[in-house]
Amino acid sequence: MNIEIENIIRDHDYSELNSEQLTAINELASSEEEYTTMRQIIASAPLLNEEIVPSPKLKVSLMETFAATHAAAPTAATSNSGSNRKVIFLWMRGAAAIAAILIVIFMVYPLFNGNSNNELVADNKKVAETKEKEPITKEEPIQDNVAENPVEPANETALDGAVESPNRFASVERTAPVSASLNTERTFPRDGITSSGSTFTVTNFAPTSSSSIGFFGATTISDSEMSEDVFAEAHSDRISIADLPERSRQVIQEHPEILDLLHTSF
Amino acid sequence: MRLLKTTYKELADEQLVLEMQNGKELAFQELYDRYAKHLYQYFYRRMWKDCEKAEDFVHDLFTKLIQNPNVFDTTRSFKTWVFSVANNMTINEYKKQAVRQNVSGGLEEDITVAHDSSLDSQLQDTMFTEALERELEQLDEKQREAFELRHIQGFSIKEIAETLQINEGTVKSRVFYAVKELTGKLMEFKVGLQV
Repeated sequence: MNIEIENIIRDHDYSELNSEQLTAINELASSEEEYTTMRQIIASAPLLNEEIVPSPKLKVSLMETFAATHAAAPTAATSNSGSNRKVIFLWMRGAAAIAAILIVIFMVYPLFNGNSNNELVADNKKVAETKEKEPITKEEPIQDNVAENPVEPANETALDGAVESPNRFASVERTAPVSASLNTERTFPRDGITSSGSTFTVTNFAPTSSSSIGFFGATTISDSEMSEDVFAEAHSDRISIADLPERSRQVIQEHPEILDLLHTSF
Repeated sequence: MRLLKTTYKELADEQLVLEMQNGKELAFQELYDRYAKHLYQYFYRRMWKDCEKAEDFVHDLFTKLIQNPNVFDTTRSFKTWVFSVANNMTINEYKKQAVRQNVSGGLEEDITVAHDSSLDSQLQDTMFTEALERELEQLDEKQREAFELRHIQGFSIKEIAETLQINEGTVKSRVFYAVKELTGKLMEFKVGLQV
């Protein structure tokens, strides 16, 4: 007999049955009277066991039998071994719990420590970078990390002129433009931009760190090439004096020594 | 020194048997408290409502468990195992007895009826229960066994199958036909009451 059918019979009066339930019990009870009798049987059956309990003497007798059996049985060793096993088992459980906690601590501790160390290093790095960093425009894709003396206004790109720091940079030649409005007769610092008549040769050093500007190759730049648009278009890193605000350019033109400071800071 | 105190009431039946095997008297006591009443009721019904015989069978069963605790396979369910043993004991007893005793009036003596017999509906309920007892006695042995385990002892189909070592479909079939036959017999009884 299906459990579902039993539950239907136990829980529902005949009048409460829906069509699905009627179909389910149809094989068992074909009429309401039969269904009702069946329901009464299932409800009454558990009552047949009610109030029947063994006498207390039965328990006493069995406990005596148990005591007698185990008193004669082996030994302290056996029963102790049982209790020893239990105690050992309990100790093992405790030891296992303690071991698990220690393992978790040892695994987690380096993570915290490592994280804090990393944060320290990161902080130091940031401080160093902040000190050396020249304010840059947000549009610039590459940040110059060694600008010592930022040119006003604050968001100007550092010049990619002669950067001399043999320890930090590899000496490479670049193709970047230098200035769109520089006077061709101006003399640039010796280890940066050199001019000859209306052409400029720019030699730049490529910083080795990935965050620094990387310049490669050298180019001879003529005046005609030094238009703002040309430089802005041609240069891959889009850094040029032409990109600087007007005020900055004026400052640089008036005070070319600023370039020296910038160069030496590299 | 123990870190944790064992509470036997929280242990499963199988764990209690293991503890009992180690000589723990409290474990055996807990096991007895859990099963003695149900086994007594089982034997009482199967042994023609003979109280003494039922107690003797309970005593024999637990004594066997005390003396041979390792006979129980701890991977099995203790409940189905102990009732399986009880079933085998009753079958052996039936074989010894050629004729089953018919008990008349035993219900009134041994079972306290809670109903107020002065009321007609309650009287009818009482009489119905008595009739159910009688008809149950008359059922086919296998059907009665399955019906009693299912509707009196409250076993699940799976537990009955494990106890009787038969498949679940057979259990369902036996219970089905037991209920069907009892219904037919008791419908006649109810008609007789109304006359």
